[in-house]
Amino acid sequence: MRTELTALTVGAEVLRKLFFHAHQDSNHVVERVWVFRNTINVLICNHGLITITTKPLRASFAINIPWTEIATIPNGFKGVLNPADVSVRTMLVNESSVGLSLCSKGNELTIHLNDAVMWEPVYRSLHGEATFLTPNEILLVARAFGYAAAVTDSVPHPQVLLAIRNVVKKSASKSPTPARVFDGLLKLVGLGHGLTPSADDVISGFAATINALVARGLVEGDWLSVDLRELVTRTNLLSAVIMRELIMLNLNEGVDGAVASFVRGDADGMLESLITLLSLGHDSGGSMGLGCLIAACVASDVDPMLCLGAFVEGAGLSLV
Amino acid sequence: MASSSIKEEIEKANKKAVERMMESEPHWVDMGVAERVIPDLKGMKLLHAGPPITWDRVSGPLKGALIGAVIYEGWADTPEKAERLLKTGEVVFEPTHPHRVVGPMAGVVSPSMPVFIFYDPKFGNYAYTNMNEGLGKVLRYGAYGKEVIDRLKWMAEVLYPVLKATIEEIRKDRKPGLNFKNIIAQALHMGDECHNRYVAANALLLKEISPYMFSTGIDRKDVIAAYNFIARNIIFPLNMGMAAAKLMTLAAHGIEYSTIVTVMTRNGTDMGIWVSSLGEEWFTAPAPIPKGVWFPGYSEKDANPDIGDSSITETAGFGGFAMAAAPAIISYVGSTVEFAIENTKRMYEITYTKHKYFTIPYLGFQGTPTGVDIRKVVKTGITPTINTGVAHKEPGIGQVGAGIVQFPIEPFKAALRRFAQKYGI
Repeated sequence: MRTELTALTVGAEVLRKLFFHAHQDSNHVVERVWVFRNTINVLICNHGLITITTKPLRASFAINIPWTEIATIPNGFKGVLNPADVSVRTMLVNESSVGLSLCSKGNELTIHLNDAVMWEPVYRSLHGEATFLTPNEILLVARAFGYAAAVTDSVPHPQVLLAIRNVVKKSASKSPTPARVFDGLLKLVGLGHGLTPSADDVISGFAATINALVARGLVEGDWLSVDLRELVTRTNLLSAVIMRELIMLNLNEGVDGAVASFVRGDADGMLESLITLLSLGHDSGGSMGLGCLIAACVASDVDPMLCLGAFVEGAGLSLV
Repeated sequence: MASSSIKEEIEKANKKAVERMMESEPHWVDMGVAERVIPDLKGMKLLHAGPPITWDRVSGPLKGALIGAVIYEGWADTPEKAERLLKTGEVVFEPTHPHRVVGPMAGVVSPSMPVFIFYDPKFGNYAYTNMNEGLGKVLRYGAYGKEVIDRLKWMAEVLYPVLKATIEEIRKDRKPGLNFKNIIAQALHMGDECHNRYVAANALLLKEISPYMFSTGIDRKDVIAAYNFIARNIIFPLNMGMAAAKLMTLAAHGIEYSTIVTVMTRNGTDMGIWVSSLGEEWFTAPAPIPKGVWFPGYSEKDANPDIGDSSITETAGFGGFAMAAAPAIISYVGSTVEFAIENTKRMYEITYTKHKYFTIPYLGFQGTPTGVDIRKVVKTGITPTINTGVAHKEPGIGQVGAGIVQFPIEPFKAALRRFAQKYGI
């Protein structure tokens, strides 16, 4: 069965990866493919990730396509990104003739990028002085987001929330610097259920937010990074790669918008962006958003325990 | 630790909202002149489909329909004068929904236009809609030439009295009037989806009303003209189906904690929704352009963004959501029969339940997807997909095709944000 689709939006990072790999030995471009109902995740050379998804959530590493029953392609099929289709004339996607083909025995999915709109994170344009949300606004957003996560069944498992509380509490008892909280959270890699364990999503949201602020000089501190080889000993490969993409600031629009709104002091905008995340996985969106909120607290010298408390309260839970 | 209370609260509210939506009993009960029956439609005021809009952002077809309505009312004798009155605010225009009115495409209702009166005896609500003019060059698609105004006048002078007398005859026989829910349910079994295809519903309507029409005592020539007008206009029951849907969704509106959508509508510039627990607050985004089948000589570049209150049918659980019941609709709106079936199946993922009374034979008589839940839209990223007529983007031209349109996700996200702010803090 052959399926041809035209992409709606394509992340800037996708093009970089495709163009880069077009110049490599591309007979073996795809290392691994995961097929789900809404999404195909393609691991390409050097562990780069391209996500092809019918979900409307845009990301640097995503190609958004119209709704189609992706699940008709069998999970685990051996895919090949057809190198012949990757011809680079210009980096402007709407002027290029780049095509992306995923082929397998009996199945072929071709995605045309030529009419797609390119998507890039806006955090890159954030410079200079920032008007962060006030502590009270962060807590209001956290409570409302906790509520939204609860009503969409996106709250991380209580066991994960308890573990996060313990880590955050420990780091908050000293000075909760980004690095200290991050080190604590990293101990939780792989904790939780789902394709991307909840703790991994919290870490992604936290580190991506901090790094976006650090990269624009809005928060002092070191760049947070992870070692993929170490991560894969504690969580599954897909989760580890997605985590690394986000931490390297290949952001999705939920995290990106939350960071931008936080920097602008726009509480309503931050809540809206966090809600955008809720379409991710089972509780991935809720977890990632929680990570962003904890980072916003740490960046503002607000006790992250308060933020966690507001989220939990909003979700109608009690961690006692 | 448990968040069950929040979810239980919403579950209880949504169950109530959708139950009321399904149990609503919309009846056609009367005809009347708009300004005499519609609340707050007085003076030089017009109603239009979709969310509120200002003149500088009004789309071509809506502009054309408003101009046409000003001419129809006699407030101006040229399009230029009519436009000036609208631009200066001497003629005001407001959305239909807060007035309990619905109208397809531009949905323009003016004070002296005759309207259908629908009533739901179960929940005591009224809703109103104008009479359908047919396809092609018509006011609701933004055309306002002499033939359009003449037709509207004929409808007021000939069709309206016949229908008024007909429904009075029907009421003598059965109270409170003609049950339109039964017509929709039956038409879904006969190949209609009751948004863009009303072929079966039209036949059913005529079967129901003809004996009464011909016993009204009105001049036989007028009765035959009215009968022929309805018989030749296969989309005639659309407005009635919309009024019925409005009553169903009105019954579901205003329930605290409910996340069910009770209005989905477009004005040719924006689309907007209401949510049961969030009152009459509009959540809007730019209206998308339908993917369509074009009339000869037209193409996508002529198309205006989506317009009309007719998506109230999908809000109530039929129309595009019941496309699996109406494979023949594809010849009008494009795409494939497989898509029609797939679309209905996909809408189950964002709706609360399957309809008790509206069922689809092809799907083993499953109920239609009913009660769009903003939580499910945000969670799945799937948005309501409907079928629709397409208007030319310039005023005064009319219909150029029909197609499929998928709503943007932004209004649903904004509504969830407001919901979290209202109940989460």
